[in-house]
Amino acid sequence: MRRTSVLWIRAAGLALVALLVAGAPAHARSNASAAAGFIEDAQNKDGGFGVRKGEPSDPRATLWASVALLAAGKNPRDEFLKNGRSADDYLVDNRSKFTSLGDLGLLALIQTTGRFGPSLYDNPVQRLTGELTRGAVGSDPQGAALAVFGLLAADTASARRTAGSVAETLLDSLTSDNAWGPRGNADSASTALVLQALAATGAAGMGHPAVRSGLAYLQAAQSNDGSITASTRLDKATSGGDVAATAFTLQALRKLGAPMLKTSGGKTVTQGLTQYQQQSSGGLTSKGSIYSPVPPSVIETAQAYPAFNGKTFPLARVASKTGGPDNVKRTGAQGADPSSDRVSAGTADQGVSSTHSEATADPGAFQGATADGSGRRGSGEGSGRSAAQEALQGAGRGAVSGTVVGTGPRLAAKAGASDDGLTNEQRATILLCGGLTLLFALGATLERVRPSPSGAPPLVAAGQSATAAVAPLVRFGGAVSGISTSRAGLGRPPRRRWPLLAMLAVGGALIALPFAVGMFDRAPKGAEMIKAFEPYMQAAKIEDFERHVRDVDEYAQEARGRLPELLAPGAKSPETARRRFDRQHGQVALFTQQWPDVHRTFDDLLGTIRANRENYEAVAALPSFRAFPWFFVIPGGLIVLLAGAGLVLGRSAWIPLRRAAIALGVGLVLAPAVFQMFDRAPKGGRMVTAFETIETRPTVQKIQGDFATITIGQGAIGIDLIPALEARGLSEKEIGRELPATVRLRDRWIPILNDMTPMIGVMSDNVENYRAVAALPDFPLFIWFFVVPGLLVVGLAVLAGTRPLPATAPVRASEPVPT
Amino acid sequence: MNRRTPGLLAAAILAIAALFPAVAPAATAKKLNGTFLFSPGKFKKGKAGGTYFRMIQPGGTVKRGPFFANPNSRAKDKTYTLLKAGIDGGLWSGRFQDPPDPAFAPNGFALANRIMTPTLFAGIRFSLSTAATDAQSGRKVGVPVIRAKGRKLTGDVRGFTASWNSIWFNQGAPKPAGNLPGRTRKVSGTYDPRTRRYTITWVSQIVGGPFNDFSGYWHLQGKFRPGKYGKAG
Repeated sequence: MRRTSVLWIRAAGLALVALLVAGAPAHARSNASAAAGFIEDAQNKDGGFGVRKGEPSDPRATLWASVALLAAGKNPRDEFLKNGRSADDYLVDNRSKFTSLGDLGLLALIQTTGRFGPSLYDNPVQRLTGELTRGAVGSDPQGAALAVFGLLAADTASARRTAGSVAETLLDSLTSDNAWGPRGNADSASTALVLQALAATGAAGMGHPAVRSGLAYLQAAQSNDGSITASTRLDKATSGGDVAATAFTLQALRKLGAPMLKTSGGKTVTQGLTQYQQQSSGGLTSKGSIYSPVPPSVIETAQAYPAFNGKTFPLARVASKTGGPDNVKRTGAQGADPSSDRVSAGTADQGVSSTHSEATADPGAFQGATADGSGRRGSGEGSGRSAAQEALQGAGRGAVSGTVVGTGPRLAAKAGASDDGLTNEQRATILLCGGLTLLFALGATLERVRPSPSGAPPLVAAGQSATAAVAPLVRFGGAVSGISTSRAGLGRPPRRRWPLLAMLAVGGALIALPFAVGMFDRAPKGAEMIKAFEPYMQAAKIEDFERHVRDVDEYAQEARGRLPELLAPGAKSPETARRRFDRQHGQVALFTQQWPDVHRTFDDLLGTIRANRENYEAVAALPSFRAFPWFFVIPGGLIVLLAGAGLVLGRSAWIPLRRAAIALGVGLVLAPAVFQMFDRAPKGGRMVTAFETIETRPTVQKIQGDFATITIGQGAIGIDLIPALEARGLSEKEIGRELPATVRLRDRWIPILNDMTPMIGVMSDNVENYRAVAALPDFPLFIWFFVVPGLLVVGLAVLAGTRPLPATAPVRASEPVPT
Repeated sequence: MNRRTPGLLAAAILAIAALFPAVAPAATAKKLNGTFLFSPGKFKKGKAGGTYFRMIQPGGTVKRGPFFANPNSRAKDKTYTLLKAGIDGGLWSGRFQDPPDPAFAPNGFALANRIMTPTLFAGIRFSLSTAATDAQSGRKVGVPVIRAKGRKLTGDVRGFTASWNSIWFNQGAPKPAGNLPGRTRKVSGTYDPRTRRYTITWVSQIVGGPFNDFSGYWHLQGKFRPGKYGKAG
């Protein structure tokens, strides 16, 4: 076969590899899978889970963690660290500690859902039945609701009868707030669990007055961020949401088929729940938030997980796959990922996925929802919708959209990462190297059919003699690759030496490039900037900010229109009223004068961010900026080595070196295609150009000043305008009716601040990082920094050629090589 | 020797003595460890007193501003935020006053209440704390130190940190790294050893975050209680 044909075969193979890699989809981890991953990571060696990660095991935390694992299709018997005990072992060891209704209910739920023998857990269903007196149910409705789930999971006639009876008792146990709570004091978590239990038993549905009053209670407890506070007695402005109450409310809404609860500002309960999920770990706590350093709670995360994942109680049964750690030790089974510390039914990299352990796709927090709201089914669910999905659609038909997933913190470990933990570039690198190796072997094999040269000492003879222990393997490798003692391209040095010198120069230039453009210093700053911008480049986040600006604008319009009418009545004209108003309310006047300019600034800022969302996604999906310098230094170094070796060893090893150089050159040419740089790099370039106007110190300082303007205007509402209106005899209700935007801005100010100030902080903190990225060469040029050297290396290796064989009779393969 | 000689001799001795003034031992700065109790901030007749804070806008100065107006300020001039002591009575020198865990409510309100009572600033409560690790930079810092040399006060409060809207702002002087960036000025003040009344001021420029390049002007005033920590008596 002609040499050029061999080269074309290699090139075609690499192209095929590149296409396969380029088509690979990428996902980010959802709220659900991040929460589940957090839980799984929190397991201790004794099988239990602490209240917080790293803390000694706690029985109640282990109960909830086990429930969450079951909700994700994982059996607690299959969850353990290597050489550790399983969650099931821990629960069995501690079964005597579970005495309350709630704990027994959860234990019964776990025992039956996990298909464990009842006696192992001391017959929790039986124990529950004895404990569920009228008095006990009335004084602990939350525990009673959990008991109902445990009984329903047992699925026996008597357990179902008992569950029904408990539900009837709960219907008679409303507090004076027309909700449920311990000892007559209603709280949101109890109310939500009882509603779920009533729906699960069929004792009451949406039409029942008790259910309607319970839902009204939860609506009243909903705070501005969409979450549910622990009780309506708490001050919503200061107390914040409660994770358990919010999660249980979501489950109750689903179970009942009730519409999603929303605040006056449109925030849903789901959006509220995501506010308490720590971005870095995926865990939740009522005391934390997206960026808070407060350690998340295993219990609260476990309570939130089923809600994120669209599951209600009771759960579908999950059989054990491994049989537990003792069985694993006996059988020697490793688990799916031998390198991990965990033995789990899935791989450790997958963790607990939001569907089940075998699923590779993760459509998001809601299995039925999609990022574009198209209603595409979640994967792993088969061809039909599951009951959970149907219930989900009922819960807020039209209210649950794909934006819900995006609204919460995007807990992507890295943009372009799949749920198996490998990023696109890692997979691309592995496949590319594998492909190159295969092609090298293919080409070398084809070379074997050519007449082999005679004479000259073998290339690897010295190596073979030094590695006698692996000689058979080396001989096999040598035979396959063509680099064997008798078949090496000996006696065939390069025809021309100057291409090798030129190749040295190309390699040197590749090594020098990162140093010349300051990539080692600038690229990591770019990586920091990309990471910092991530939360603010989400569609839902941008919508939130646009809404904040709209709220302020609507207030400004009222401040120029209706407010003067109300506070300066009797004025001859609107202009007179405004003048009088401005005199009396100087801060508001200052705000309304400055607002148009401030409005323009924010509109421009948000418009630029929105217009570059796709460009940002493209840049974020490229390989990490931190690694960029090495993408040039390593290939450059290899080219220098190959060219230098060719010059020095020439006669001994030119052919294999030439093959390696050509393969490397082809790899460089294909790298931009593999990393989709032809599409992403220009988008990145557009983003960098667009951000030139916003990521500057003067712009940041202007925005800081504008923020001060908004603060003045907003501050005047509470300390000046409302008191003035009340002094004129307007009630709170009338003020709300006449000035809805003013009241809305007053009520939404804290969430607006919670959003705006971190954004201003990120803008300010990344001015230098932006400058570093902007100082790099234009992004589209990077494509050619790979392609041109790659083409040069291939061309120069081909040009270098090989000297013809000496004029002797061809050696047939069967003839011994003369010594 | 004539009659003038003793006089001339005395004059010579005096002249020589004048060339070597008595070397009294120099006053050394003494550490004042204890509680700098806060007098509540007040604003009367156009003047601020007691313990208060002002935020200077980027490029501004202590004397002329411009200042950030806090709409929630109780002072007529909203650029002054008046402060009240927390449960420890004020600032401890020689010991830390750690923030609670968690340090913020879910809505971003600061929960620390030892140095000062959390106070509304632009709609969200802020507060103060000192800790061995600076929350903003992660650097290790020493305890607050105030020294008195005569009636003059100096100090090092590099761990002095404000918390607001789930964000930490170091407001120490010097900064945790020991530098004085931008408008940051060292701690200075006055102290009357007899009455133990003090006034301490400093300026600390915010580095990083949404208020980058703004500066906090801190004016602490009250009585010093030496050697005593814990709740105000």
